[in-house]
Amino acid sequence: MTPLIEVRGLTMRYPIQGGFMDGVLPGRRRTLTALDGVDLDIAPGEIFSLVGESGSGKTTLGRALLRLVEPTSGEVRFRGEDVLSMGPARLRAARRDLQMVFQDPWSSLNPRLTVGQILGEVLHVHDIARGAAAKARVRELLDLVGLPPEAADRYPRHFSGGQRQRIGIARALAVDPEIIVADEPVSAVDVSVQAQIMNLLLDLRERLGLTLLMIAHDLSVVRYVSDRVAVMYLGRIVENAPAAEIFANPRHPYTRGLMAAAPRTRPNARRDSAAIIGEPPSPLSPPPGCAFNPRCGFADNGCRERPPPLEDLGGTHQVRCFKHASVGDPALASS
Amino acid sequence: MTEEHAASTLPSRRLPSLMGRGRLSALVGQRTALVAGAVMISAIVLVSVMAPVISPYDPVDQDLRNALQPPSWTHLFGTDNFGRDIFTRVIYAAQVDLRIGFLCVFFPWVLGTILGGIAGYAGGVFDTLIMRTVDTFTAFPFLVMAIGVIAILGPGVTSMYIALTLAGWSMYARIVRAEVLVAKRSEYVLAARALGFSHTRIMLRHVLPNVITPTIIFAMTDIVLVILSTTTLAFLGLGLPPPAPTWGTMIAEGKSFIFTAWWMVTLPGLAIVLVGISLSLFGDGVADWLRERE
Repeated sequence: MTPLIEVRGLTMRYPIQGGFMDGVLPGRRRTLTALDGVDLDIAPGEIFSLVGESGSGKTTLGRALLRLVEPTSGEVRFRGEDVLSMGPARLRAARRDLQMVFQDPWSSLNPRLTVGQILGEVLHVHDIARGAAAKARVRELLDLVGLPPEAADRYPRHFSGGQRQRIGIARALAVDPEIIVADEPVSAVDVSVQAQIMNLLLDLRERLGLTLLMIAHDLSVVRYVSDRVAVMYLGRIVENAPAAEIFANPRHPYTRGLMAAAPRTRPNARRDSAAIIGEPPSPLSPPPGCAFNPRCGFADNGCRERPPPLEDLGGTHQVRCFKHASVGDPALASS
Repeated sequence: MTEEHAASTLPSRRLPSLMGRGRLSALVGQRTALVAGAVMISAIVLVSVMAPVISPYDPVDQDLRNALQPPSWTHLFGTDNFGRDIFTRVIYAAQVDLRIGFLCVFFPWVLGTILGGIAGYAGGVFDTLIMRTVDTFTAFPFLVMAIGVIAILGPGVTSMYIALTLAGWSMYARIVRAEVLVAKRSEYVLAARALGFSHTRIMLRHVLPNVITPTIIFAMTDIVLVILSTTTLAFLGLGLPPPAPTWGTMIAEGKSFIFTAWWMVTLPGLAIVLVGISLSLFGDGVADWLRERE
């Protein structure tokens, strides 16, 4: 099957504003690499999860797919068409197919507009429906996300975090998109509501045939919903595999560390020794060699000298680690 | 997935409508300043508009036989050196002074909001150009710049508008730019971009309504300063030419008679104080109310 989204070598660098002389003094201009040669494919109808710590570049990647930020280089193809070279008119049309649900339901809705206005504006701008038809469509959208029709006359401040997230989802659905990038859609809502929002997204995917790119900072949220999981570290994808495979057989020490860090249902079960040490390094001065080496229990001198390439382990399992054989070895895994 | 659950936790709408009776009484209880200020300003505006009905005298016609009369029942505020009734001149002057004061806040507010909005939203070269200009304008003391501009353009109301707009816009630009920079990064603006909305739509419908309140709050505190500045400029002879009455020119004319006819200087001065107090009360009240609403 041809992928819905293809990303090739996507790179994003920001110049950093330092002291006022930095631009003048030689060698002081610094750049932050948010994305470094990212490749990935998203198949139609799948739930693709992108996991990583803050600063790993996962949000930037999600935004770059929609061209909310302009990548420095690389390619993003949507149904084979290059998104990064689209002109303004084509891009506007493409945005009916590519939508986004944001992380913070408290800042993602314009506080000055009623819910009906927020949704109605989308229908108006894209010429989807006007007047009575638009009102009917707004009611339909609210119903789709489990909100009553009266919600249309209220302002975002009258709703709880979970309800606001539903409104954000309804707004993304208003254009009837093919793919929704959900940037940590549940990390800012109460734990009791997280499952409801995740279930809503799953339900919508079934009913509307959506493709989802789910961005998350821990594996536990995406464990039971994903078809495929990619793990990011400092702007690079370090492991990318079908969900069942990655959870059964993680081959990057960072992936294993993330799994060990997830809260467990059996607290007395033996802990994985692969727990990650320390904080992620600054993306302004990544360590030489493999970016993960300072925090890795498996690292040796080779890891500190050269960056590992993304290796294919057969099937569709890829990993960026010299030591993937030892990481996957069950004899060593619990040492 | 429980749709019923989501529906039942919707809070009911408890806020009374803004136009409702309950709202006003709540204001009287909590916002004495706002109400007192509004009542005082309304009274001043009403008296100045009704001036021809209230006063039997003309503000400009001279009556030299009755010059320099102290306050009495026939001339409440006394008369000036040309025999003109000072009370009449004070209430006619209110029309001019309030209009100039209001417009001298309004024009800089509009100009500053537009330029600050462009600087913040467009960024890059626009931002640099506009904000360096703001810095330049901010570096001049307010009155010095106003006097300088009027000196170039010649005295008059139009010059006053231009001068005070040039002297006052930069603060508004600064406030709006800072607010726009915050709003521009908000997720609702990102969402609007993701939905393919035009820049004009995003600016006017999503950014501007969310950044305008702080500028109104600032304008409310600025208005007193501006009214005082316009009377100061008039006092310095840079406002309306005589014989049209404004409080500043009346005080300027009266200053040579301060020891013989105290009422010529003092009573127009009291009018300025009264307007200053009512605008302070009103402005603070509005500012507090807007802050609370944010």
